[in-house]
Amino acid sequence: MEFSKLERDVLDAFLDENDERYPQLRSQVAVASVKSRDFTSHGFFTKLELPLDSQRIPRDSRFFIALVCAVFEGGAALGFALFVEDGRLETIEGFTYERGWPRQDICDYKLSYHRSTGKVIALDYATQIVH
Amino acid sequence: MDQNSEERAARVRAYNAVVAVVESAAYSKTLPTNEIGVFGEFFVVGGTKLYVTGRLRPAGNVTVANFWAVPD
Repeated sequence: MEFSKLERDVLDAFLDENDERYPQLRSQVAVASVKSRDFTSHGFFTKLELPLDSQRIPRDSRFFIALVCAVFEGGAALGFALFVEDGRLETIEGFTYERGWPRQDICDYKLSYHRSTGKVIALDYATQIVH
Repeated sequence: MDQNSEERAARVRAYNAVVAVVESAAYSKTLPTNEIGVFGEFFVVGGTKLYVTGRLRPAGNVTVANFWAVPD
């Protein structure tokens, strides 16, 4: 499966801000494809597929990068996190700050990486997701 | 109560606990937010360190959007 426009834009926003720290991520995205995409009422989880020989991040190999935000119609806010497992991109998570995800094919949005809230965070083994 | 209902109820309890902690923090101090009112902060809830993201509303209340457990 191919990435949606939103997923591509989200990946670009994460990469633009973290290129220096994790240059391997951009080379991973260049060869990545979508393994699966699951929508919930509050967002989505897109699992990525990478070739086995793709370049890995050698250290800090289990973490997630939060937080790219998008503003959608009427000021509704959407958030995104990018998960890295074993040095490889694993999942893009999208979620909403409102009551529910607007719709699956949103294309009219303003996306930005907010440095005040954007963080690289090590993951615990018991990751907890709200929705 | 079946297993799904129990899991759902546990998630709701966890969510409510996070909301209570974040709202308490929001009332007692100013949560730093970005230009669209979104915050991303660490909180300890029930002994577990969480990274919590949410939105501070103009009326002063808080919407918690998502949270993840992180190592201490």
